[in-house]
Amino acid sequence: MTSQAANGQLGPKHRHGVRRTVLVLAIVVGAFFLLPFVQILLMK
Amino acid sequence: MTSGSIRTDGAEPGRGLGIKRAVAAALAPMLALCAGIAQANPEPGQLNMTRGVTTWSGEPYFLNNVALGVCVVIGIVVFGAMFIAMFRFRKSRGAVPEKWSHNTTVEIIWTAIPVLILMALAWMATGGLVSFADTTGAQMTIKVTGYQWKWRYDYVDYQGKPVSKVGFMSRLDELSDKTRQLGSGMDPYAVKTGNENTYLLNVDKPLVLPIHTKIRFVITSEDVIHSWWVPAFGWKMDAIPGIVNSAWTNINEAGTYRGQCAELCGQDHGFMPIVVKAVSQEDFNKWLAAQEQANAPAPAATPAAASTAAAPAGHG
Amino acid sequence: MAHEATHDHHDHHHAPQGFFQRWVMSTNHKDIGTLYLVFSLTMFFIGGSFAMVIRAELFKPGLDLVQPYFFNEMTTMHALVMIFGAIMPAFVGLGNWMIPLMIGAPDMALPRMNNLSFWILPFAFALMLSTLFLPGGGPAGGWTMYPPLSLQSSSLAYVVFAIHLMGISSIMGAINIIATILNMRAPGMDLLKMPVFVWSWLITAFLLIAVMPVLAGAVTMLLTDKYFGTSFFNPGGGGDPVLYQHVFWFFGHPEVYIMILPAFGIISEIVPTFARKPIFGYRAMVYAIACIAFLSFIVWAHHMFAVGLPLGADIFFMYATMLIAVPTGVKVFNWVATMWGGSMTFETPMLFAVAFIILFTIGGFSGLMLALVPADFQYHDTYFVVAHFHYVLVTGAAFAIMGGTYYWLPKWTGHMYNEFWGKVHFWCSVVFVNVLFFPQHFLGLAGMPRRIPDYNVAFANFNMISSIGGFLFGASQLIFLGVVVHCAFFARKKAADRVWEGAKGLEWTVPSPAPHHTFEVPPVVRDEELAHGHVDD
Repeated sequence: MTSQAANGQLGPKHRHGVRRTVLVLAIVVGAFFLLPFVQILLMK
Repeated sequence: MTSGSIRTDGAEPGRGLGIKRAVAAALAPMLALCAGIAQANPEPGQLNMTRGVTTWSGEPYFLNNVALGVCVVIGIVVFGAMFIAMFRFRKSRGAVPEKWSHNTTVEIIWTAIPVLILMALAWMATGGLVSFADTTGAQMTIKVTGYQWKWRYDYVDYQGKPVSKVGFMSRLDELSDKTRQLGSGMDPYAVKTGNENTYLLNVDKPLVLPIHTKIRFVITSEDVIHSWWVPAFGWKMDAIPGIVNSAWTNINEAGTYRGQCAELCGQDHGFMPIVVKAVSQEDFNKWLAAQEQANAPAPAATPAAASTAAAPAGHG
Repeated sequence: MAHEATHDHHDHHHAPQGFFQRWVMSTNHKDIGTLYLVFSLTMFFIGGSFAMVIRAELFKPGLDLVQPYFFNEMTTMHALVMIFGAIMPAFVGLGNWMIPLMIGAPDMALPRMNNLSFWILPFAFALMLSTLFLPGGGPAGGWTMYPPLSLQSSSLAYVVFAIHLMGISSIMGAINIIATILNMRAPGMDLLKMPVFVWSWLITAFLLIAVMPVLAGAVTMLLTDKYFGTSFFNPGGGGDPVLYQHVFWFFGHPEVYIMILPAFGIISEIVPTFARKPIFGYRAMVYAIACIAFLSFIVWAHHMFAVGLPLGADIFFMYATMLIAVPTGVKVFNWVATMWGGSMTFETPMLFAVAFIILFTIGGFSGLMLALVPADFQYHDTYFVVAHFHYVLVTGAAFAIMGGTYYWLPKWTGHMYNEFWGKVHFWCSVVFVNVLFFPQHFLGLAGMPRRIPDYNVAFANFNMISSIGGFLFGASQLIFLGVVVHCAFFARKKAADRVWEGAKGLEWTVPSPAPHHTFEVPPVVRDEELAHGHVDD
């Protein structure tokens, strides 16, 4: 009983867009997680 | 001798204060009501910040009053406009909605006016900040160390000469400590020193300081972060392990000034007050001489007076 | 109109029948939104009960009820539960429900991840709240968890793990919202035609993406300092406790705006609806939110003026902080200008919006005062600060959430809530919240520090007033619970599709209650249907 979107019924345009958005955001998340560690290393 | 240099120290912020006083008076005359009742220690029903008793403590006080006045005026204008709108443009009064949703002129005006007000406030605040940051020219140094849950005071130097072995722990007085225990059955209103209620605001050994002397504090901690705050001095400064912070004060009036630890430091954070006894320079000289004498013959005998020389030199 | 576009496919229109399947396995944005909102309301009452303990202990001088350590557990848990459990999930819930409806999307872009983001939360909070019942007690070092004090807590590992879970949940939620808004808008729903609420959430989601990982990094360092012998914040090993505060507030200040920007969005929906006039300066509103979000990244050290920053840093952070007053002022002025020349009625959502504008602005005023560093040397860590952030978060964020709930509740349930009891709830809340928090300004100015379980008798009178206000404000929220439960299960009065006369936007074109699936075929967006689409500015 999942919704259409969950069943992959997004159009190919949407699917690509969503994938690209998530990829970019995931990279941003990783970068910001590392930020405090980098900051501390730089201050040493 | 030193009083001349004190005057010069005091003159800069004093002149700044004069201007601010004028601004405060012009902007918010109603504040005079609150200003009139300012005092050093907390009073029941106190509504405004204390004016304080030092050469610098007027800075936060006047900034507070000016900023409050500015906020009250802006508030009256904005909320006034809003209440007029809510009264005039009600559907029940037959108001018909207008269509406009944009007006560049007023938008520019209400962006520019706050910018100007902020610039004025920033200018005043910067002056106070710069004078606070200048800890040079101090005639005395006190080292303050925070512990869970007491303070330690060490007299480092006075009038250019090192002070030998004057230092002690200062903790909550016994009566307050007994009264504050859960289920003690004792009445906090009965904890008095003279006529003043000193529940949780009294210590066994106060920090004794001379008036009319620029005193530099170096503040650190041995365990967690504390914050040394006497409202009558106008500032608080965190006591942080591994770091030595500095601040200064120059007390104008003799008296007893009470404060508390201001940074959460564990279960007894609320029970490590600060008491400063400000006395005349002559009385202070006598007191310091007596302390030095008492500690000199047998320094090892009084653990409370552990050598100041052994104070963490590495922190500097 | 757009109604045709949501034309019924009866086989798709009904929710799954089984309770477990419907709620636990849900991928439906409306059901997950409801779950978030119910969770948030639960946490609101749990966090509120902690606040009642705090106010009861502070009712009069002398320790009467709890030990100081338990008091500190209460202040810490109250903050963590209210911030991460009540306010943030409430906004995510409102976003889940309303964003797809507002932009004409069939669901969120990543529905299964949506389910995961929600279901992490109950486990995270179970873990965190369980520490209260464990030997050694819960966290008691304040929600900011400053080392070295937080390292003395034996429940640090539980709290850090719980915060990691909440962070993962928030990050997934934020990614989902951004992906939805950027990719799933109906044709014709340009970015600058989106409702302000959607804009505010888009910007908030970017803030979440940027700062939740930083918090994760900071608490990870706490964990390794305590259990793995590192010395990030241990001066004995060459570390620096102040560094934690820098990292924490780099998260913490944007976090404050995460809790208020969606509230700005909600108020920007409610005010034009009940003023029956398009929002004044739509673009200025959007740019102001973006501007506030940007500034939030360069003001973090204004929480640290007493740690002994260099003079230059004090001055920079003071100026940057004061600058925030400009875009925030623009928002307030624009809300007032929206009302000016309108045709206003004052149903419960509008009452909450009006109270929000006044009381949030009072919180903003005290924020401006706190920005002035010399004055902050006095205000810092006193009840003045407590009063300030409760005006911003309770009469700001929480009032906006309540207003938004009343505003959209008929759309969710298909029934009108009881307007009389909604107004009773409003008036009780607005009166008692001021009795609760306004005297705290005086306490702070007179010199009462925060986070103390007991105080000198000089602070007695205002503390007692504040406590009385606190108990009554807490009790008033039971009315809210009653109104919501009544509306969801017992109300008879049917709500129209366009619940409010002046309401505009796609969410009002679908039936009330909103069917399980909406906009399966993208709606045809007509500009005059939108709140801002027809406005040339």
